[in-house]
Amino acid sequence: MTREGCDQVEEAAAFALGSLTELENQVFERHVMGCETCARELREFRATVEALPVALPQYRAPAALKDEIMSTVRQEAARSLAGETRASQRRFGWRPSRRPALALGALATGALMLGSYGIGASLSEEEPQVVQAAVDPAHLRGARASLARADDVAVLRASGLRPLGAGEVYVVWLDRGEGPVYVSSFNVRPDGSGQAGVPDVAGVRRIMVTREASTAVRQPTERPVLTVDLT
Amino acid sequence: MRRRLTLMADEDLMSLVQAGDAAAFEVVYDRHADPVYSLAYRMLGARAAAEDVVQEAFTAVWRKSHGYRSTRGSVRNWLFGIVHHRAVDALRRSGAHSSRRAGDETAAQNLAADELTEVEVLRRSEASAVRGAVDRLPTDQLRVIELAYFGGFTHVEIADVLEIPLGTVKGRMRLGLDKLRQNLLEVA
Repeated sequence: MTREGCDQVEEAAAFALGSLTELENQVFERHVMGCETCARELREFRATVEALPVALPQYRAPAALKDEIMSTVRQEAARSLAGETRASQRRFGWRPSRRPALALGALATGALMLGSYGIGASLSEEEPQVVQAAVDPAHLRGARASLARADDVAVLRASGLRPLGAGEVYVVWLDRGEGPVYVSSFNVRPDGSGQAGVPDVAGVRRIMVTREASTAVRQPTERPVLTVDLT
Repeated sequence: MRRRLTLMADEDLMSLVQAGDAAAFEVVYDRHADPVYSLAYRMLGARAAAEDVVQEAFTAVWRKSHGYRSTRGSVRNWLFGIVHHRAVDALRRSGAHSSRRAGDETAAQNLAADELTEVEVLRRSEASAVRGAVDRLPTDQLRVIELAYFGGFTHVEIADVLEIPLGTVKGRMRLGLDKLRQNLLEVA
């Protein structure tokens, strides 16, 4: 029996439940990429399957489990930070750009705001900070950027960015006056929006975003598409 | 700073985790560890095995946080997916399939009513509604869904266990999920 003409559609429910073998999963995944009927069925089944764990009796995860996991996470975070601190000792400098010289004389004013975030979060007890974002005109397409900041933690949100090529990413850099330090990277959604976390903005003078060929970079290879001045 | 983090939405926390923020990861863990552990415990039926799977899953979340894409769904569902996949692998490797309920109830600390936070109260309310939707499924459809999702059985194995044709198994899965979707819409 088929539904809407595809004889593979019966596999969608089993796939969504995790009931196919690995080989069957691979076959069906390839099929779904070219079959809108099965893709639609799968989306609906997945949304339903996601409700199943919600119905379970709830148990408290053991405290020792968290201790073990967080011990690993903190060690790795500290090692990663130490590695990036050493890499940032190089003098800041631009390589010759592959793109035409970019004129940043005419700054486009991005969103002038401190965004609020979270579940009903209220920042009314603090004065909102106004951050001016400079946007590279070459990437202007109604591009906007805002930095939502709470204490020394921030989230950078941007919209209207150009789509990325295969393997490319937008990389976030922090500059505390000793050169740019790699923080994180993000991709662009189809609507041109993207966001990145900035875990520690204490002492940061500038936040920059560049477009890179990969995340395997230790210094910017292009001029920034976004610059947030925090001085 | 932790108070600020606990007010952040999951998506924003994951942005920070992707930037290597351990404190943000801790908030994600605190927020989702219990439901994720509960799923692992239900599937594996043993505390130690559930802990192993949850540890693997959250460590993978930390090391491969860039695998999360908000366009593909919530952080919670992403975590459920990771844990479910690893639990199924564990079941199939060990051959210890079981459709039983979590066996050693005394080994897992159930969440007593007086321990519940406001979030947990809301979760209990949601859980009750979903449980009602699940309980209204026809028995034969519920059985194959439980064997598949919580038992980790393949559809071929389910056909063997229940001694029914493979096509019947697939049909019951599809009808059961369709019916469950309808039931969930009614309680939404």
